Amino acid sequence: MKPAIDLSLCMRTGQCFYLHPGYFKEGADGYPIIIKSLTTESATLKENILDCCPAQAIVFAEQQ
Amino acid sequence: MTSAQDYNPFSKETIECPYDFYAAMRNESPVMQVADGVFFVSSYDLIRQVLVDTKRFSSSNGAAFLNFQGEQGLAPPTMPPPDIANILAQGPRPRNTLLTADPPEHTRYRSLVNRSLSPRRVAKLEPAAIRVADALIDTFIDRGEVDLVEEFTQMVPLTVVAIALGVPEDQLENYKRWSMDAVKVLAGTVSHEERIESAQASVDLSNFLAQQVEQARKNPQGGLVEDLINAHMLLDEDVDGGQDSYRGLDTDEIVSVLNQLLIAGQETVNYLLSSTLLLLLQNPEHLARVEKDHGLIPAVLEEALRLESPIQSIGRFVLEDLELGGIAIPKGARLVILYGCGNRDENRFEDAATFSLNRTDARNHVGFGAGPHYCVGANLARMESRIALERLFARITNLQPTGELQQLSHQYNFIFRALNALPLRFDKKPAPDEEQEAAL
Repeated sequence: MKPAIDLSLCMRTGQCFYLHPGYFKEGADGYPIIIKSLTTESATLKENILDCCPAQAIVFAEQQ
Repeated sequence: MTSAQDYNPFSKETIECPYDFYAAMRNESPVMQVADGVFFVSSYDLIRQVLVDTKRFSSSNGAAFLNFQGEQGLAPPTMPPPDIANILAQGPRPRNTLLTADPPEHTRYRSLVNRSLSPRRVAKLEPAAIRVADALIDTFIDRGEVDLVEEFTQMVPLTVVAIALGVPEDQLENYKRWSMDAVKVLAGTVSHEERIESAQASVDLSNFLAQQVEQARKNPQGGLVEDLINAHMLLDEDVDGGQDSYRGLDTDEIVSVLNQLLIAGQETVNYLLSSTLLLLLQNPEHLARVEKDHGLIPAVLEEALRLESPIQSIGRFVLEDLELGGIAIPKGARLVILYGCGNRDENRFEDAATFSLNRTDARNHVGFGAGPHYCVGANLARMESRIALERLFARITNLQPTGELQQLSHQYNFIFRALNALPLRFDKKPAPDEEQEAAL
């Protein structure tokens, strides 16, 4: 399960790479870059990642 | 154009309308020294650069607070005088939590508090916000005129937060009085007597909040306090600093977080709402559009956050000798980050001084800050403000200022952009069922 960013919503608050540096890092322009898929099936982790974004710009694509 | 050097940034005139001064400063010197060891940062890009860099720019030691002294400008942060210190000593031990913490301590607090104020959590408070807004409108709707600041914009956030905290009915009046007195000290230049009143209120409020937390630990009732108590349970071990390393918040820490939510969150939403309504009155064509289409309210709010940022400035403390915008800044200097100025930067926003509902990038304003300290209450502020305006426009129409708009004034306050009053006349809209009857 890999997070994705809806760039039309992203406000560059930087909360995702601040609070979840294992999954996001800051790109040169301040927009996040996704590092990796979730390594667990934890619903808590998924919710924490979704909830950290004030813009609600993080989405989880359906499993491929 | 007048040079930035010709303005007194702290005069009543400049603070009533700072925007010409801001424009001059952005053009001439995006980093400008205004006193020994005090620098203004005014361009959008430099503001963002400082806000995201917590390694070199610190929020700790209360440096986030600027000690505004009227025409004299900004004094260094000082310890409270003995009489006030004695009052404050009767409250819970003050803790540096969100606003006045740096990583890694800040990261723990932010991780723990974030989910209690997430968009999804805040959405659950929407029905309460609707009830609060409607009950307040009920109290003035038949009068045809109202000071919206006193009777609406100030009361909506205060009451919604009280509900979120689970303040018991019989304590609500006390809670309102304490929290209104406690925030008085934010009003810029205040007398020593007002400071004493404010300190006493903040102690009473903090002791009340500490009781609420202790009661919620014994007898959980849901709501924000319980969320904060249990926050560590919601962290995942897979994330850096999962629940093993992020112990739960103790009572003093929760009280500190709640105090910030109350003090930073209550008045700022009041300022946002009153400024938004003023902007709409100044732009009647936009007011007409919004009255017809409530879907535009979020865009209106973002534009108000940008143009009339409720928090105009915030402080950062410089941790090492460095260069910013070509200016050498020594370790120990204080930076004044001018949100309200960066938000009108022409290099970032086209026709930056114009109120427009057609921007696609309005939400990129720094009205809520940016980076690790991005306003933790932003989701709540957006929700409360949206609901307040939706209910207002659902129930009243033909809003007209009672006097001249030019006569309206803001608090003499360097940090907050706060309308003193917003007296209006209006017409009551027929209730939906009456409207239907009239149509038949």
